[in-house]
Amino acid sequence: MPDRTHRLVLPLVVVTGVAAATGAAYVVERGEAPPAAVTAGPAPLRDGQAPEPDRQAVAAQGLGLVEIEYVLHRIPTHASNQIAVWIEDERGGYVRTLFATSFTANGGYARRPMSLPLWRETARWESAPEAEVEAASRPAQEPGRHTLYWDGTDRRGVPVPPGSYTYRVEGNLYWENRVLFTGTIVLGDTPRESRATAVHLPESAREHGVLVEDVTARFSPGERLDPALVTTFTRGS
Amino acid sequence: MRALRGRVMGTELLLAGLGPGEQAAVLGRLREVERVFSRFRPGSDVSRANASAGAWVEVSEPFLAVLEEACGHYARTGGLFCPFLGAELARLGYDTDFGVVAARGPVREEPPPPVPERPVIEVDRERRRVRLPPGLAVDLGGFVKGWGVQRAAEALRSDGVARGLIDAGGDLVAWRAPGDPPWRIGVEHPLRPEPVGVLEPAAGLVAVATSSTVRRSWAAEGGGRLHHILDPRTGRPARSGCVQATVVGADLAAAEVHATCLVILGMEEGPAWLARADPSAAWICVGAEGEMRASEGAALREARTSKGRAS
Repeated sequence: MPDRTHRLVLPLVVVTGVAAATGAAYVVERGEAPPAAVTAGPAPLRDGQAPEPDRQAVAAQGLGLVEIEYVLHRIPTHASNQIAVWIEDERGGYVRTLFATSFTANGGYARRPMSLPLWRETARWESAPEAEVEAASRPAQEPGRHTLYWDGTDRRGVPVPPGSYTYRVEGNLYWENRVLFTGTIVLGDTPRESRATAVHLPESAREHGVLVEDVTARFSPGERLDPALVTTFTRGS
Repeated sequence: MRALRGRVMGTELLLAGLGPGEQAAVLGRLREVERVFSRFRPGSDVSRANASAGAWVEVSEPFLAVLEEACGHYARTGGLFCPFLGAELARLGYDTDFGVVAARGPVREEPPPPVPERPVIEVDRERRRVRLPPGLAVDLGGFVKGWGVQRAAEALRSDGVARGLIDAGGDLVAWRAPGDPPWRIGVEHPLRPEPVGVLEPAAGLVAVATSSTVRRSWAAEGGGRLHHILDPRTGRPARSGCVQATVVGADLAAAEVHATCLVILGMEEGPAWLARADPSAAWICVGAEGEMRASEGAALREARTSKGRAS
């Protein structure tokens, strides 16, 4: 039991003068354009394209919800800590990006071409529509466990058919040294769980520390991405 | 309306239910708070006051207002909430952005230096200046974040914004009209993947603050971990057995103060103390073994999914 009293010497706060009025201390420029909004909801369709009627029905029902969890660490070196998380179909076709660190997602690859090259190539990110860039790019996350949600729609907001899908997490450890997690999850009528496996690119990249680990996915059939479920979490800061 | 995510005051920011102009207003306020109160920006009022201990330092009106409010809580809690532990935090290694602290190697926990006998902090309202005694440093960290979020929410409400949520790193203010769908706020479990439960506050404004010894912690030499919630009675990280405390009230700065006091006092003494200090506040405490205690007023609901997302 520590001595709970020996340091409890209250400093004396001496205040002189009259309290100043408060509450009007800040000048806020209301006309300022807000930074990019980044909800991961369905991106607008391009060129006036609408989902086919039968697909709209599927969207209303929804295949379910995929939760992708991972533990993120922070590497204290330059040219690191960029990550992207995306979905591919069974044939390796790009479906949609769930998260991409804003530096790379917003054009940082021009200065650092080695940032997340597999994701950029798969997603053809350099020509991605602005709405998709806004929806996927996020500020760097704090270290800790994170969860991303995929509502079973592609980059245009169109529901995907049942089947096997690949989720990937790519991260830059140090300049071109990367880690790539790959796992598969089946979307259908049955709840599923899976764990991704990691490869380092090149193999020697593992010397540069751990950026991401413990990548898992869970599919809950029929679960909706309902914003009323939980808005946010209080967690200690 | 799209939610907005960003970073301010060294933490993640989520704004939900607000239009673009309202989001910009909140961001402007919080960035101004960061500019004045950051412990890690050399030009901030806090940094200048701490760097010039022993000498008078001219400061801004918000600095004086927040310091005075913090001193009120300091007196009310008998010193359990102490805004003058900046030097102790720096001694333990938390002297820069937390991302850098967490990435450093283990820190040696030196014994805290003796406190000078009855240190005197002088505040001169007329000339808008303060003088700290040598060896003492102001750290308004979580408190001023709560103060800033509360003021931003109150400003929007007075402008007629009927619904919104401002979440700064898990400490948040949410408000809504009686007919609006409720906000649902999950309470993370510090030791387990599944949340403790979900809060569904009634209409009106609610403030939710959580203090944790787990999230902002870093390695200590010889094993174990240090964290940022210091017990002013020992000058060391609190070791009460309570690893996370959530307080639900009407003012976020006060909720921050109370959550910190619960972590310092522990699972038994803390709630008993809060029942005297603020009988209207609801609380949820999690112990070192993962056990949970909550007040009746918290009205925790079971989480339907492990996590959620913003509307």
